[in-house]
Amino acid sequence: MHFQFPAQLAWAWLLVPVVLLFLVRRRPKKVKVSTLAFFKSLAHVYRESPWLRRLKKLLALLIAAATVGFGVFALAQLVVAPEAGDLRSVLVVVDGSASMAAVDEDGRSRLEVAKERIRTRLAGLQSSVGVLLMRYDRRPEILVPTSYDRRSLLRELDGLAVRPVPGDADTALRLAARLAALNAPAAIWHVTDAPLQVDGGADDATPESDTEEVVVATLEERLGIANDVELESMVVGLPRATNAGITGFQIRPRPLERGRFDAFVEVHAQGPADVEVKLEVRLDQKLVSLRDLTVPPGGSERLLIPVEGGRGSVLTLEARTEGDVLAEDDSVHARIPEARPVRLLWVRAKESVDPFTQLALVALGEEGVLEAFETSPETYDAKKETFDVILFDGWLPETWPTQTPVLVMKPPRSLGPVRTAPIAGDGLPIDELRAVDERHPVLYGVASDRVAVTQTAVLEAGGSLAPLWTGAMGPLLVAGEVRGQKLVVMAFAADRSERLGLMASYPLLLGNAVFWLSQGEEEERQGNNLRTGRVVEAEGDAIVWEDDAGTEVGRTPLAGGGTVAELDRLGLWRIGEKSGSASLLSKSETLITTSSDEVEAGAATATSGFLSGDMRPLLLWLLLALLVVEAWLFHRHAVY
Amino acid sequence: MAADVDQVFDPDFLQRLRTLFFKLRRRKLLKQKGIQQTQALGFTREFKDYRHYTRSDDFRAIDWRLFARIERLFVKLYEEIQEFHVHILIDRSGSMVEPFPRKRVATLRLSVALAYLGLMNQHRVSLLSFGEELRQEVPPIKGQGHIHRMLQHLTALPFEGITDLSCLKQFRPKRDRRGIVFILSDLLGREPEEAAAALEISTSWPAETHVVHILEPEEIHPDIDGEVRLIDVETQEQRQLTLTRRDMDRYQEAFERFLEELAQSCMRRRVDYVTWRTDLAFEKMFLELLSRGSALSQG
Repeated sequence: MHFQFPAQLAWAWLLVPVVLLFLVRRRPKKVKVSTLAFFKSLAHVYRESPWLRRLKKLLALLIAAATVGFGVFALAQLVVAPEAGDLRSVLVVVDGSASMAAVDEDGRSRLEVAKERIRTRLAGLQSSVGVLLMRYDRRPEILVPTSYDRRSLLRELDGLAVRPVPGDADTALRLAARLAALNAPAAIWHVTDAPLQVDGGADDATPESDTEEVVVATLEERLGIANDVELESMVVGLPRATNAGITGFQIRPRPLERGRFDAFVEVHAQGPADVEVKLEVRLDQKLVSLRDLTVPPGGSERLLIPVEGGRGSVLTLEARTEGDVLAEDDSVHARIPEARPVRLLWVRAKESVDPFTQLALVALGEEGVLEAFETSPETYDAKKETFDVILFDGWLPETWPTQTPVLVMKPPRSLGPVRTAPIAGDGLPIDELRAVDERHPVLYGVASDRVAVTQTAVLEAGGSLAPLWTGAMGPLLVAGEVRGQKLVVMAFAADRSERLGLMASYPLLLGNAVFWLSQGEEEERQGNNLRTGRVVEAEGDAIVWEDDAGTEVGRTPLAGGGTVAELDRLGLWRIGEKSGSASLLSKSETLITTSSDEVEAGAATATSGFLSGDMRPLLLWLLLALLVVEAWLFHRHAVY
Repeated sequence: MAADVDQVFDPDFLQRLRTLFFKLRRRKLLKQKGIQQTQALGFTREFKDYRHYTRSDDFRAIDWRLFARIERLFVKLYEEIQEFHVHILIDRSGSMVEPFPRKRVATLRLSVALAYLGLMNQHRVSLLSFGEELRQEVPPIKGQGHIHRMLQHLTALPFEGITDLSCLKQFRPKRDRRGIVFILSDLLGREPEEAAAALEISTSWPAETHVVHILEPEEIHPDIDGEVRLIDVETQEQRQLTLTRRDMDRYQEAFERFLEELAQSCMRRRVDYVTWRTDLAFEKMFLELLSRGSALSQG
């Protein structure tokens, strides 16, 4: 228990006149009368025994003293903070990512709830504890350095707003952990709608049922939190939520069909039951397609939508769901990109002679969508290569290239994210494949059930690498994104496969893989369909945001000479001559974490904390109650 | 004592009382006595006038001497001299002196005046006091010379204790002590209804009863406001109240209703009832008694 403004306790001197007034109080005038008989007949005459009169006098003094005391304590801002302990600093790390904009039944966003929770907790802190306020989405931002000025802190907290940007709690908490260590002992209050997972997989929406102690201990190790720093999660998730959002979106040229595009869309949904989603596709504001999707809770639906639009047309997709709690993930915008052939570097081992691959690449090259450059391992130089995709065919370099998407065929060994165990001999023929994820963009148009391949290695699929084909010995085709780098690994030989090389599925598979791998690089180059929170380089004075019709809806001046800009809004943007679009496209934000347990726990904490934290409201209510009691006890008959 | 005597004994006023005398309104209370009756029995005969004889007159009353001179029958008329007892009952409770001492003074002055009037007219005057019980202060005495004795007793009379009006039942004048009873009291007992009930006993007395209700104006219109602690001067009972103007209006209504009911009760019992306000001039009040046909008459 402490006071925020101890100097205000000087008002306690008011007790002196109260006591003096009690000691020299004006006694009731004694009046001698001939008889009390007529006074007794008055209705409200009340008789009090001497002990009751003495008690009431004492009670009057106590009430007056308590009234002054409560008033003084309220002025001095009495705070009962059992959790404050001997902390030197508290770092408030607030999740400002898109999912914090999810609203509950009362229309309150998670961020508003978080602010209220923080305000309550801050009121319970001793004034000697410094507080740092940090928000984060994709990147952390320190709003208020360690400060003892609660008012400025609360002002900054009030001004805090959600940005439609995916969140990265790990980066923020690592930074917070380092800052906290500078001013330990300290506490980190992580206010978010999704509790951190031990393995850091923020995309995994459902928390495991580990005990809190285990979770916190593991988290501390993972985040590098020192022993004298305490990490406390304040979860403000919705107790239940229905939400559907677009989490994947690409526009890519159709293999072997020049001038035509496919829009790949992935919709994730969260809800108590299957979620019905209406997906509207608009091209230059005209509705061109309408799809009805039924998405299982926590699951997704993927689809390819053919698009026939000219260069510069604006494609808009919007997912509509009844009871949707988050609007930021419901729409995406993109400009139909300029068709440019993908530059592919094919690094082939000498012993790997595969005419079917060469044939497929030539066919793609004839369509004008691919430019393939062949080289040998001896001439390969990772530092000099500037290609959209690198294809390692039966060979892997000493050092894994991290900057370019990679397609690996017949990997001879493990390297980097590629984990493989080669099969001795000529490989293992597999007549029947099992397509794990037929809707993956790499398998679009591929007749997986008709091919028969010879597996050359067993791949290890895990983490973000998803198996697409699985044989008797394990995965033989995996695709995914590891640390921001796209990767496709094919552990089979087309030339030794019984039914693959001469089928249309092979060039389709190869083309899909190349275009899927190059898509990010292409979009990055063009600035099209970028995720919010990304920083783009461009020359200009301001970033101009436009709607589907090209009307300006916002403008943000560029800082630092106008060379870089952060995409912190949804929609179409333009900086000088460069233009593009920004969308949320985040599975972790779309799959709203429901945290009924945490909410109930929070409510329980709030209930048990009735006599903790800022005591001002309670004191003022008590003061008011005392005045009412005093009036009732002593003045209820004095109404003229 | 001297001061008290000065307060209650006004020689000039008493001198003026010599022209007054008691007069019974109900003569039937006294036996009609003939000329043979002695003064000891309370009657004397003094010639007053003549009138013509009529058949119903007692022939023994004919003045034969006058008949001898003018040969016409006349009967003598005699002035009837009434001799009776005057009982003065004084309320000696604490409320007669506190908180308004003027009530005591008024009571004593009135007692002295009544006693003087009775003694001067050769009546037998007795003095009794009542509080918790009835007590005879001065036995029946006669003659002007006893006025000083009466005065000493009155000025030495202690006013204290509570009022128990039921003790009036202890007053039982003998049949041969007919006369007039004066009750001087504020009639403030434990309950307002107690006074009327106590005065009911007066119907059994062989005397005319006159109730002189001694009141202070403050008792009718008390000037009390706000939070006060009231102390009953007789019982010392205390009550703490917060009184408003509206409360005092209600008090006044209750008190006036008490007076009205008391007056009505006395009227029903043919008891003379007078409200004696101490703020009014004593002599004026005394003469008002005379003018309203009470026990006093002017000679």
